[in-house]
Formats: sequence, structure tokens, C-alpha cells
Amino acid sequence: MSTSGPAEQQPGHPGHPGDPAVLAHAWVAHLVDGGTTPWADVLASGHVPGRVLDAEADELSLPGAQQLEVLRRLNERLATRGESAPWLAEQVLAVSPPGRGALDLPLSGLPARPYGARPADPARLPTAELLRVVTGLIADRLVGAPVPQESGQPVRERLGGAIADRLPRRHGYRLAGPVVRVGPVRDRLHAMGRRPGGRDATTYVVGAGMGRLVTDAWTTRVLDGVAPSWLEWLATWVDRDETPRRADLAGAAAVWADRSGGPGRVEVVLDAGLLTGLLDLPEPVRAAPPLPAAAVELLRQVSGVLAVLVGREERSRLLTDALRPRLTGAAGPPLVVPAAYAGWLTRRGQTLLGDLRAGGYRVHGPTDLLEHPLTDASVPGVAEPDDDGVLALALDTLADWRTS
Amino acid sequence: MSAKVLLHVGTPKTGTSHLQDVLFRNRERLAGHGIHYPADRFDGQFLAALDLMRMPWGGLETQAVGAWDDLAARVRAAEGTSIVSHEILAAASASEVARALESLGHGDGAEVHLVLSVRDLARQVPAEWQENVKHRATLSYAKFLRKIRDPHRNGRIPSWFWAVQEVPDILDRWGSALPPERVHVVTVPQPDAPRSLLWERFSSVMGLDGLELDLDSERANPSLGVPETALVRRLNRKVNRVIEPAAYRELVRELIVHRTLSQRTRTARLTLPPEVHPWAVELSEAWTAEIRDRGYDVVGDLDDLRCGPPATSYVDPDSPREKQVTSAATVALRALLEEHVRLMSERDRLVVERDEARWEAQAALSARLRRRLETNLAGRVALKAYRVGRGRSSLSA
Repeated sequence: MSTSGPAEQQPGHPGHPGDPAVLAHAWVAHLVDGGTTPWADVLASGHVPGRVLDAEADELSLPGAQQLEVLRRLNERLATRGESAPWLAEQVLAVSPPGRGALDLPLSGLPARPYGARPADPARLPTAELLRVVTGLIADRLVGAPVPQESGQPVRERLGGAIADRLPRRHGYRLAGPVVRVGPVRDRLHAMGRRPGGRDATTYVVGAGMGRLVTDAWTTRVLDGVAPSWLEWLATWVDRDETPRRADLAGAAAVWADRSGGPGRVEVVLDAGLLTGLLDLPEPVRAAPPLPAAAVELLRQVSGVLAVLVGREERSRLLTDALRPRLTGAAGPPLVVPAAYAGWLTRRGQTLLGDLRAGGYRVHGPTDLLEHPLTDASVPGVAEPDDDGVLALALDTLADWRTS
Repeated sequence: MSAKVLLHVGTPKTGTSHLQDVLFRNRERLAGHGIHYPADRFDGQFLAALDLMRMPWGGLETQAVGAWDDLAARVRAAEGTSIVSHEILAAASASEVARALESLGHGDGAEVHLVLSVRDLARQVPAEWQENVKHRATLSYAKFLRKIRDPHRNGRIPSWFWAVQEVPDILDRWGSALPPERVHVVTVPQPDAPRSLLWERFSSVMGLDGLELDLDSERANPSLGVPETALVRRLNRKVNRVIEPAAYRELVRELIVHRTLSQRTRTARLTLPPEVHPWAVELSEAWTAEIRDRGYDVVGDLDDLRCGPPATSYVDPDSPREKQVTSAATVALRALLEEHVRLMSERDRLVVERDEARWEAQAALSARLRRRLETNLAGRVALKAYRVGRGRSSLSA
């Protein structure tokens, strides 16, 4: 700590160690070193742990309060694992929050400027402002990130001709349905050497109960492109009293019936576990659990940033193959259709079941999930994502990125 | 490398659309005088700004990938003077400003000049609310005023408003790296000034004086009256969920607002409520003094930035005269019907063209087949058999 100069030592004098501007610079250095002390504590105590307070005071060159708070929260996560990431600090402090929102916010306690964004206590910033920073960082990380490759050669090819020929060749199949439901099953079959297709293949349109069909349709919509909020999207379909296109199993079945030789070649499976028997698989197939509501919302917000960084196909690829796997397995309740829309959901489910029967498709599984779909009143889940949960997941994802 | 770069960053509602249209339509002529306006489409520089600021904009941002780097590369590759202009750049953060200046050659040989066009708050505040309504907003004027006057400025609407309208702060963010003589503040004349005066000020600061330019702009961002704005706000409530952004832009913003409702100029104009006016006056006075103190190059008169007197008869857009709203709605409905009829005619014309094209293609194919069959014996036999068969069929029919 500086001890020279009587005038400069006076509290309140610019450049004095207790000057908030000096504290602010020391606090930034503390955060860059992995520190976790909140700004309010520093301001109250006039002390920054482990720092000498002799920095030049220049509040204009400080990063925004929102970037600093994100860095502090990331440091908290890394500290619990005994890690630090100076390179991450550099990225966080340099990022400009994408989209509309507050400009770089000055720290509370610093001399007020007559113009510009108002000073803020970083710990009390609106969650949405911190999310802007984190989604920008995740989008930056995704662009150019290596995407996991598809699983290697199928078993049949890896085993070589002689042994592979001993494996029975089964009836051909195709799987249709949203990637979030069908993807894991398809990958599993591929790894087992069960490639889709064949002249006499049966197409299995993989569905679920009506509520899950709708939330899966929403997740697929998010992965496909820039999307409005979940409730806005849902309200659009409710207003129209229509089934979301991606949840319309009867529509998908009709498309495949046209392509593959009629309704006799298409079967609808409402429980993915039934595929084990239908495809004669040696191990049971289980439906992938839905992503938590926070994960889908994070995908949506990152998608909005990616839209300005990469083309549409690349955006979808990054979300589906690079970010989604990082969010699979995250804790948290999934989305469910709000109870207020139970009537609509029931109508759509009954209409869908009627369409499937009218189309002449064989339906496997519990059709009562279409006739009497469950909503958030009876299914564990949340009717809309919670911003704090999304922020926590986003920070965890970013903190994990380096170590995974 | 451009020797000189004129970077016009706002503010919105200061004649920027007209300026950009003139620059775009005259860009080849300007290039002949060593002045470059790099853009391949009218909104090319808007897309570049979206890219720089990673700003979603109703789906348009998907066309903006890489647009800023492209623009900056063209500026650096040009010789002479380059002009970059878009008003949403006013909202750029400090780090985006730094990136923009560096990419345009600041500190690397280019002489970068900042241009900011400004207008008094008594006109800017209602104009900004109207812009929000034209971009699907449904909030009332009263709520908008409450939000922007809240000192905390939390939320999208106040943060955007101040980011693009708080003149001293915009000049801080964009101009702090430049000497004050390279920061040009263009004031928008008061409403009673000659219409050409604003263009003369832009022309002077951008070095366009003496050039023969086509100034008959096809584009402008015209304002709406009180009942018209109230109508669009009500319409937003009904259509926001069912009309996609691209369709909204074409049908609501372009057809209903710009081409139809903006032509109704006799209805009451939006103004500040009398009780809010003193707040705007106080702020404008402070801004005027601040700009004067900073020693920037002022193009026009800083007194233009002072608010005029409060409206003598304020008309509240949250409680408009219903008869006038109905009248505006009828005009909008008529415009939509006319457009629908035009599209129906266009559809019918295309159907006829398609059918004719199909018929001609079939006729040409038949003629080619007949000629080929007639070149050999088997073909001639087959053709004869076909004609006999067709004749029998005709007879039996």
C-alpha cells in the first residue's frame, strides 16, 4: 500500500487507497487472479483481499459491472474445484454483451457521471443482463469449436466380413421424429450395425404423450433456428387451435406413407422403449429424458447470438451437436404445457389420435397419453423457464467447458 | 486505405434514411469524385451495424453474418474518402466502438471523423415511441414515458432509448478517441426552417457540396399522426402472435404505415405531454451546454437542440379520438384490399403464363418426337399405328 504524500493519503482524495476508483482497479485485478469477493464487500471494507491499493484511478477504462460480476461468479465455480482460468478472465472482460440491453455499467460507489448508464452494484444486476454476457461468451466458444464426430463404423463393418456375416440381417427399418427423441435411439442402432433403410423397411414414427410431443416440438424448433419465447410460441398454436407442425405425428406418418409405399409401411410408436421388441434389439432402448427447461432456454438464447455469427445450417449444427450434448444430463425440471392450456392439449391429442386411426397406421403404446394428455398440474416440470436457473446453467456450462 | 473515413453513427429520427438513400443511389457518381459509400444494397450498412453489435433484428440478422468485416475491408481498400452511416451504431458499447474504429483504419493511417446528427428531445421522445410501435411494440405512450424517465433505466426499452438518444454519452463512447475537431455535431433545424437546410448541413460535413446528386429520395422514415399510431399499436396486439417478422415488415410497416398512414398529414401530431415537457427542456439545455464546452465542430446551430415551446393542444395517443382511429383503419383496410387484389391479378397472370409454357413445352416435345419417329421405318409404322388408334378412339368417342 502506498504511504507517500500526505495529500494523497487523505480519505476521499482521488488516488487515495480508499478512493473507490483505486479500489475498483484493485478489484478487477483480484477477479482476474481468480478472486470471488463481491464488489459491495470491497466498497464497504475499503480493502481488496491480496491486493495492494496503488492503481491509477481511471473509471472510464474499467470493464462493465455485468462482465465483472460474470467473472466473479465463474471464479466461484472454478474455486470449488481448486481451479483458476486467467485466459477466461481475458475473454469475459473483453466481451461485449450481444443484443439489446444495458451498455457497460459503471460500478456503484464510483464518482457519478452526469451522462451514460447508471452505476450498479454488480451483485444486484438483473439476471437478464448477466445472461447477455454469458450467452455471448458461449456463442463465441461454439463458433469454431470442434464438434463431436458421429460414432465410428457400425459393428457389422468393424467386425469384418466373416464374423459380420454371422449376425442375422433383420427386417429393414427407418426412424422418424424429432431429433431430441429419435437421435439417441438412432445413434445406438447405428453403433450396433443396424443401419436404417431397405426396400421393405418399416418406418417407425416415434412419438410420446401429447404434452411431451409439444415440448419436444418446441426443443426441435429451438435447435432449428431463432425462436420466440416458449410461452409466445405456445400461445400462437393455442390461438390457432392447431397442433405444432413438429408435434403432428399423423402428418409425419402421411409423409412417410407416401415415400415408402402406403400406411402399411408406417407404424407409430408412442413409447420409445417398445422399439426394443419391434426391432428385436438385444438391449432395451429407453427414451431420452427431456432436457431441463433451463437448458432449452439457454439453447434458445445462444441461438439468438449465433444467428449473427454463422449461417443457419451451421447454427443448427452447433446447437445440436456441440452445445446440446453439454446440456444433456443437466439437473432441473423439464418444461410442461401449462395447466391453463389443458383443454387445447386434450383437443389436439384427440384430434391426432383420430387422424392416426383414420390414416390406417398401426399405433404401439399407450394411446391414452394422447386422449388424456397430462399437464403441469400432474407432471413434474415447470410451465416456463426461470432466468436464474438459466444463468446458473450457463455459468456451469462455461466453467465446465475448459475441463471437459 | 481510405485517407478519410466519415463515420455517421446516429441519432435515429434525424433524417438518416434520406441521407443513406441519397448516398446509396448516387454511390457510383460519388465514387467518381473519390467518395465511397460501400454498400451493395440499401440496407447493407445496417446489416454491418447489426453484425458489429451482434444485434437480433426480427430475423434480418441472419443476413448480417460477416457484414461488418466486409464493410471495413472495403473501406480500407478504397482510396479517398469513405462514408459509413447507420443510426443504430449510436448504441455501440465501448469495446464495439474500439473494434469499429480499429477496423476502419483509425490509428493505422486513416483520418476518422465522427458525425452525429442530433435533434431536440421534445421531438425525439415521441418519435422513439412511434418507432417502437412501428416495430411491434404494444406499450402505451404513458408507460413508455414512465420507463424512459425512470433513473434506473432497467429494461430493453429505456436502455435502448438512452443508448441511441443520450447525445453526450454517445459522443463519449464514439468520440473519446478522436480530437474534438474531428467530431462533427449536425443539428436538425427547427420545424419552421427550410426543408433543404438539413441536407445542406449533411452535404457540408460530408464534403458533398458542389456535386450534382439526385436528391429525390424514395426512402424516408415518415412520422405518423396520433390516431394512426394508436391504430398500429392496437393492430400489434392482434397480429404479433400470428404474423412473422418478415410479413410484418412488408405488410404492416411498409404497406400500412409507410405507404398509407403516413400520407395522412392532417391529423394531430405526437408531442410531449405538457407535464413532461419541462423535463425534456432541462435535459436539452444541459446537453447543449455540454456539447458547447467540449469544443466539437457544430454544423448548424446548437440552439436547434433546445426544445421548442410545449404543444398548445396536446392530444393523448392513449386516448385518441375513436372516429379518427376508425377513419385511419378504413384507409388501412382499403390499402390491404388493393394489395390483395393486385396479388390476385398477379397470381392469375402467372397461372396463365405457366399453363401456356406447359402447352408450348408439350407441343415442342411432340414435334421433336414425331420428327424422330419419321426418320426410320419402325418409327413410321409406330406413328401410323398411333394415328389409326387415335382415329378409332375418336370415332368411338
